[in-house]
Amino acid sequence: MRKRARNITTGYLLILPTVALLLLLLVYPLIQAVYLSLHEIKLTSLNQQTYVGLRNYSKIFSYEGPNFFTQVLSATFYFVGGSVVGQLGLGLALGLLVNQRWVKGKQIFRSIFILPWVTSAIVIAISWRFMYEPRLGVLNYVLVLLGVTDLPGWLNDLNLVIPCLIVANTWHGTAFSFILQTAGLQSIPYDVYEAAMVDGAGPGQRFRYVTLPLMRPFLMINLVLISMYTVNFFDLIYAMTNGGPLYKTEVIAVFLYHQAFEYGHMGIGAAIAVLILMINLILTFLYMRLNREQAAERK
Amino acid sequence: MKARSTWKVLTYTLLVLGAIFTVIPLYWLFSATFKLPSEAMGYPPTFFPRHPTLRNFGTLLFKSEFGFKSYLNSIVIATGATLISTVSAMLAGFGFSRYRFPLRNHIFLFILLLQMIPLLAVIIPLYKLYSLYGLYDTRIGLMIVYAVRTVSMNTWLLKGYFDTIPVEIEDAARIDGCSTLQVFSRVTFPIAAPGVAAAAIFAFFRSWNEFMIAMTLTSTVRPYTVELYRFLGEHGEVDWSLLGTASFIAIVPVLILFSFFQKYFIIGLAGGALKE
Repeated sequence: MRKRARNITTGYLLILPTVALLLLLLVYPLIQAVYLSLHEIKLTSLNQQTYVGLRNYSKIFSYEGPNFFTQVLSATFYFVGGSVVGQLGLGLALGLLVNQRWVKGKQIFRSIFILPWVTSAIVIAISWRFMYEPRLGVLNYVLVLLGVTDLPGWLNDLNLVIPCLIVANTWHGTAFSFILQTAGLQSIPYDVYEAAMVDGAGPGQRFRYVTLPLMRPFLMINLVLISMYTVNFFDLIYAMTNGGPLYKTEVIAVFLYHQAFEYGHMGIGAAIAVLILMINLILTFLYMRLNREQAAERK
Repeated sequence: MKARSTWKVLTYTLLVLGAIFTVIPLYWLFSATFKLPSEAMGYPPTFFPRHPTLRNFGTLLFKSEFGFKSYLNSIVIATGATLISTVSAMLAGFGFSRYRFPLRNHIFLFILLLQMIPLLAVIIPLYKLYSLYGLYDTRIGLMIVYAVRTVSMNTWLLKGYFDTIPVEIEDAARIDGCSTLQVFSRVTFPIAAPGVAAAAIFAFFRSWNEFMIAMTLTSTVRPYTVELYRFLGEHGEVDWSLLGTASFIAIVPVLILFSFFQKYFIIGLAGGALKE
């Protein structure tokens, strides 16, 4: 009996550092974020806070520079949607191409494709700003060589700026989808393909009736994870456009940062944080359901 | 058969194009590292450095406002965060795997769920806490918050590793007279070493590349990411060759390191997303 009590104590002691870290630096701040979202608090006087109820939220929704719905949320969905489609599509395509049995140099291709994922988002932002730079960048230089005279301004162009960010972010994030899809493709036993071939299925049919259905759970999980990651992604946009030009790229993460640390409205910032958290909760819920489905399918 | 060889050619063409697309942005920036400023800033741009030079490294070190100390800060902070995250996760993973205690499964699930909370959502309270309790602008402050970013995923990863090691092996060692600590250091740890390596590499990369938290919670002990951002913004005209050089110094050693440990990196990445 005493041994059992000692085992319980040892168990708790072993998990203590991790639990303490998470409680102090994640759970407590999380509760604080909700609390602060109901208060007015300024960056310059952090000790003074007055209760204002839901006023911070109504301020966000009636905000005009930028408008929360037509500018912030729409920029966020545009950026997230475009990035997710690009990353998942390219990640799956590259995964399918590399993981064909006869492809040589798999290891080299994999190493190259993963590079953007291990590079800091700040360096990525710098690289792409240099690429897009109107006078010195490689893109306009190539266009000049091709004889184009009406050169685009890329990041300064109101209509091109979000697509430009989507390209840069797709470049950065495809690696993650590629790795995940590779794991998925490797989980399909080769016998299944052999059986399909014996039954006379061509490559197109094998993809449609074997690969896709078996990959579905991987694709769905991938979709939810990168959506979440992209909603919370701050570094790239902040360093590439900082929300401009004309709030065109003021996604919700950058909006939060500007409110809290540029204008000093910590309460409004905390309210935006709560909204971001709610988006994440919905996506997490989806993710857990998908994970459960996948685990059930494997059995 | 002919269709098959056409498809092979097409596959390799697409793969090579993908590889080129992946390499170009970094190549473009890093090629400026080896160009004279007059060439990097001159028109028309050049694709290959005409007079390859190492002069930018000297200029960056001696004649620019770029703080070289930021690399040191990054090394110290990322190493510290890696140690804190890996050691805590190793203890917790072992605890969850080997000991039975009340609420064990609930706590484990809770830790996993916390992984879904983005630090962006708590950056404001963190700023307040750090300012009030003297953690603002300290290396240890960044280390612990970076450790938080990876510790739950690493706990999960390492618990999985410990679960695969049969308790019988440990019992056998104990019968042979090993103490609990000896059992862990001589039997369990060596078998779990690949998992520990994956956890450490994951923690290191995430800490090395982080920007937003460092930007918010430091002013003088800033890591290289924040220093690069300031360097990018402070000059009206961007000096691409110096910026390329500063990025080169931060990224290339890590990429070389990465190519050696790629296997472990992928274990951590793919394993973390697909949990059962």
